[in-house]
Amino acid sequence: MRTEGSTDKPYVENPPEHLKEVHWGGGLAVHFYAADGPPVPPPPPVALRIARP
Amino acid sequence: MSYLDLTKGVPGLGKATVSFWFRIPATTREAARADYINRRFAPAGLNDDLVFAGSIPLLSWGPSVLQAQFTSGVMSNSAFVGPSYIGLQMDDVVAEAMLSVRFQSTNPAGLNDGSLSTGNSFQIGQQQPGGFSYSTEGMPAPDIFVAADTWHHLITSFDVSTGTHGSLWLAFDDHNYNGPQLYPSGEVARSYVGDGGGGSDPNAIDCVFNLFSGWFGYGFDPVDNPFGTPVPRDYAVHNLPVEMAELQIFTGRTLDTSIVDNRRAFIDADGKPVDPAAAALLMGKRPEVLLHGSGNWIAGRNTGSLGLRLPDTVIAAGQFTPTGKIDAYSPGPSLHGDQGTPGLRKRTAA
Repeated sequence: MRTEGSTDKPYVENPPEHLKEVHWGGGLAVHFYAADGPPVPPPPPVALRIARP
Repeated sequence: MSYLDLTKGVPGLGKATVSFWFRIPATTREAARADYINRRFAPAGLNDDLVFAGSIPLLSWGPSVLQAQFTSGVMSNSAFVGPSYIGLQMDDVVAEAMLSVRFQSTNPAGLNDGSLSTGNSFQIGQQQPGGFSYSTEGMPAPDIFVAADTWHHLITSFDVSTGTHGSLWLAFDDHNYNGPQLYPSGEVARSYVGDGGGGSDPNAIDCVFNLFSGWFGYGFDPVDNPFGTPVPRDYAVHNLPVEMAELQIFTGRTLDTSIVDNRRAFIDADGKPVDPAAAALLMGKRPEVLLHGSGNWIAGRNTGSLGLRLPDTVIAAGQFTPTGKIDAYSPGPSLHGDQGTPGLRKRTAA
């Protein structure tokens, strides 16, 4: 298993000095609204390629 | 409707580490359930629309594909099914939505060898709903359920960039899942450990049709555009109300989410967001996509490397196109903090 970020950049051994908790008293999140209006057909699918062994 | 569209996609999304916060209203969950019932239980025909049937997309990318089902050698039905996505899936039974990820492919999934279907049916193309539903061991109640009206955090890292063999890491609400807990409900791919496919890597996944039908060599074939949150423009009709925050996408890098210190670059021990600078330091680069702060979300302003060349050069091709009304939302993301009153949105200035 090879992953990046776990050994090459040991975060806990060298934390950034400016690292701080994010203040979220207002301003991090958003709300998305639902689709409305008449349904639209889905986009054309990619060509179906059928191969036989 | 409202969504952020990045038509050109996020190049290299076949191998990536993705972190974001989300929540779904209970009304969204029930809308998805109704959608599932309406479309999944309708009589099967030809070219049915099963795109995102019962799904609650949060991040979506790539194309819809056609699934065809044959019985005794004759196409009995076919349906458009959804693109790759990270989100939730509802059905007619469960009380809460199930965490779900699908890696869609433009390759036909192959020919069932009988082990995954009944009678003389087989399938070509992709199953929906399906892909990966992250789940705990032991059917029939294996799924990771996601409570409505409360914030959740997800880190998922994957490499499905090539071939038939991939890797997958997942941390949901600061808890790592792997091995048998990554048991897919669909038919696109399977974990080695979860279904006894062999091997001991708890993060290995494989194309199931390659696993079971060796003479079909189809593998992962990720297509990374268009990209959108919750959906790109092509799938706007399938959008449902959700709340989102703090999206970070690092392409070309995977992350072992079983290591607590890795998770601490995204979520602190109190279950709150961490300054994105921590993740950039951990991953060794800026994220390609960074939507940080309500104002940037609302404007579709990607301050990741795909959208902003430091210090201040905006890259138009890497910016999202916002459509519809996107509101700032509070309370902000946290696992254990104020979750607000269900159904009552408190709007805040961006």
